[in-house]
Amino acid sequence: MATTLKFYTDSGLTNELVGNVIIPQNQDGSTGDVDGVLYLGSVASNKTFQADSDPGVDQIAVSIADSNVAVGVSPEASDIKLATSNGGLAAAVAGDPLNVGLTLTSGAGNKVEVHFRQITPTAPIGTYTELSLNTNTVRET
Amino acid sequence: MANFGKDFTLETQAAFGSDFTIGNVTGIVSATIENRLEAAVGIVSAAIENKIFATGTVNALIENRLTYRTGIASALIQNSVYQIGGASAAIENEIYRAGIASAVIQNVLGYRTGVASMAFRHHVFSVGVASAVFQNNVTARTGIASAVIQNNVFEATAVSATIENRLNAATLGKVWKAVIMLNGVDMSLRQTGLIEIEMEEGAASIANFQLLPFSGVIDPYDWIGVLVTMDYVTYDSAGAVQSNHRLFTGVVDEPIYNPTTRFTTFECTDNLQEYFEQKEFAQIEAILGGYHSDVVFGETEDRWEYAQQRMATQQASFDFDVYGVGRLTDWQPKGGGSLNFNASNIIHQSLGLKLISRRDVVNTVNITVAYRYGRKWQREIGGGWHYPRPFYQYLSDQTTLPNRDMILGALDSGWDIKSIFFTKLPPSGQYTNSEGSQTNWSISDELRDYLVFGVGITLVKKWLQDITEEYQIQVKSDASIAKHGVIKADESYALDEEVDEEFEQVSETTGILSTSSTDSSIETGRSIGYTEPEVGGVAVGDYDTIVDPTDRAEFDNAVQTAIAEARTHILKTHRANTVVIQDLLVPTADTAKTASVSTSEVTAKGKIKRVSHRLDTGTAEAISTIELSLYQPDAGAQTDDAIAVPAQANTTPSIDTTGLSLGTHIGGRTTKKYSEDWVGYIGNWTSARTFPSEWYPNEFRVDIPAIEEDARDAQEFTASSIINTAIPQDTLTINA
Repeated sequence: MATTLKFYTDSGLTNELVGNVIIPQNQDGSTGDVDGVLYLGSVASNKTFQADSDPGVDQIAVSIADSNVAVGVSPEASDIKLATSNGGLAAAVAGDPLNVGLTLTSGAGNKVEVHFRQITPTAPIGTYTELSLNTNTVRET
Repeated sequence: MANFGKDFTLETQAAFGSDFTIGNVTGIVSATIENRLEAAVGIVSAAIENKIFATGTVNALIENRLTYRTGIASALIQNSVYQIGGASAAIENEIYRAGIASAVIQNVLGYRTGVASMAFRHHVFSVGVASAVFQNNVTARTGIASAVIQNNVFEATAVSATIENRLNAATLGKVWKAVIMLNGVDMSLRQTGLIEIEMEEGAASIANFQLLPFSGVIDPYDWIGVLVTMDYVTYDSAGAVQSNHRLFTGVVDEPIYNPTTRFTTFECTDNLQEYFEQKEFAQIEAILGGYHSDVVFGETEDRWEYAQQRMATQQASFDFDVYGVGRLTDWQPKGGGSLNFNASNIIHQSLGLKLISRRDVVNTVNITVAYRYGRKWQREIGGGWHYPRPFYQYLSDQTTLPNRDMILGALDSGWDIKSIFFTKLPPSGQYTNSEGSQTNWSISDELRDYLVFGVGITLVKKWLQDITEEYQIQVKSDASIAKHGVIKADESYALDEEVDEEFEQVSETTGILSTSSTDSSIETGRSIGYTEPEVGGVAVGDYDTIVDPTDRAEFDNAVQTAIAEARTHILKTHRANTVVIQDLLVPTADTAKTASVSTSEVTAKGKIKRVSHRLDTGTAEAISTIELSLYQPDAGAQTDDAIAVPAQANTTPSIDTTGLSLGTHIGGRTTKKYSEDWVGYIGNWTSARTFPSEWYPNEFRVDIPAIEEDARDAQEFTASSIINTAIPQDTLTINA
């Protein structure tokens, strides 16, 4: 059984994220940073989620993965900031993971807001799908 | 053995098998058994069997853990608890592994007598393929057994979202291509003719395109509902990609096949309406906010209609972006990040301006909200009558006396008796009369219970009074009134509280509960059906308690909704001013954005209301038509009041109630004529009648004051308020 913890595009957890999070920006930086938000949660009943590495001790964290580290020629993890609020993005360190709690519980009221700020990557014009936002392995009970 | 506990921990073992048996023990046993097998890599097989046999109370905590990181493992775990008597067993088996595993876990609780409880927990966390067989047996011959068994098999996984970075050149390339994906398949090469995409604030985006004939048998119905995406890709003269912008995300709504040309036209929508139709009302409320009241809008089961009603109470629009993600956008233009259009990019002679017609403007909305309910009255009035002479005088010179039937009959009037006490004649015996002589007084118990020497009465009556609170609320824009004069709309709403019809029912007067014995001189009683005034009642004067509805939440919500809807109506009519321009396709144009227009004729800045993209793969023309909505008139120093429920109308009644007044009228020695206006006891002297004299009927009369009109008839109370609405200031300058 796959975990019921998912990313959603709305705070009511009614629209599961389908496909990629598309972020268009002008390569010359004229668009500026682009902010967005995803909602991490579960609509199942009476479920709890903990880090599989050490349940209840290790944080559940959202980190930025880069399947192709090529500084200067493709987007890098350091082009993204994460925070649990839009206001927190200013102080966030680009590339750092975001701790979202030791234990998460299901229900729309318990969702976690994952705000991200995409800094214009230093890369040629093109479309890239090498970055992703990932949680660590989570167990569900 | 009273206690047993031993841990066996093995690491990086190839195989492990161990049995722990606690057998044939009498008495209290507590056992904690923990088996751990932790392996880093390699093949592991483990067979663990734990058995506890005991007579008496047993508490067993058995934990079996297999933890390994990679490799293949098989595990057979068997836990058996047999005992006579009470037992509790908590068995927890956990298997964590990466790789392929199979696990057979068998837990047996067998007991002969007594109460047993057993909790099983099995956790299997794995990455890869896992099979787990759980078998839990609870066998009991007598006694109560409860077993809570929870088996969860979850794949411990991570949650992921892929970021698609589209880095575009600041300037679009001269060559463009529309990439149309239909159900994940690129249909760009089949596309021909026009592609049209239209986005409008608060509405579903629609798109259409045409594909060249397919070969073979096709079923157009197969396309209905499939995912459609449209991207606008531009290239430089060398063919290098310059930009990639999404224009539309949605589904096929209607495929139209032309059997003559064999072209298929696809009508598409972003499905905004269905998005709401699939949601619960609470979810829609969470997404949209705003106000809603069945009093204002009427009841509806239509989710889309409900969503539209909520949006009608706020100055914002809800629609999908080009990726199909919903957003709520304020009508006010944003301060920065707008699209700028001027003579250098506006297509020649495409600039248009349309101002609102005065007939379409509403700057005053007169709202009438009536709140109707039944006011619960409870009135309790009292009075008393006592024989006007002491008993010793009665002994010497007697009159007729009232009796209980007479009095209760007089009280049978539609009022309840809250309480009544009767003063009886003294019991038989020797008494001194008014002459000072001892007189023998004889009276039966029955007569003593029947005749009345005095009576005290409290009556109670409950009734409902129709109350209407009517609120006149005017929502207006003074700036617009100054420019256009008053252009009004009237709206009326009413909320009726459910009336408790049983409140007014009178209980049986004959159902009086007596509470004293016949030996005492006073006997009291009260109606069986009497109830105290409701909690929350307000005292009015000395006799009345009124209860009005205390929960006004539905009414308050109705008023707030009506005001919000009126305010939005006014503002919506004032932002119908439109500036239209056309430009070479602007893929970033969006109804959530602000646009500014700066030409020699017009200077304007407002929220984008509509975007239409038109791409013709035949002529290579790609044009965007963009409409801005602008608030007018432009006036400073406007007052904007918050939505507020008017202060409650003063509904306090003003009445003057009196109690009961009961006198005594004795005939036989007076020539005073009988009057039907007399109240109290009317009787006669039983001896030494004089002539001439009037002889009265023996009766007891009670005149209960009528309920005042102000307390009985329907009453209406009014209050009014004014809500000022400020028109936002959008830039619109027309240069002649």
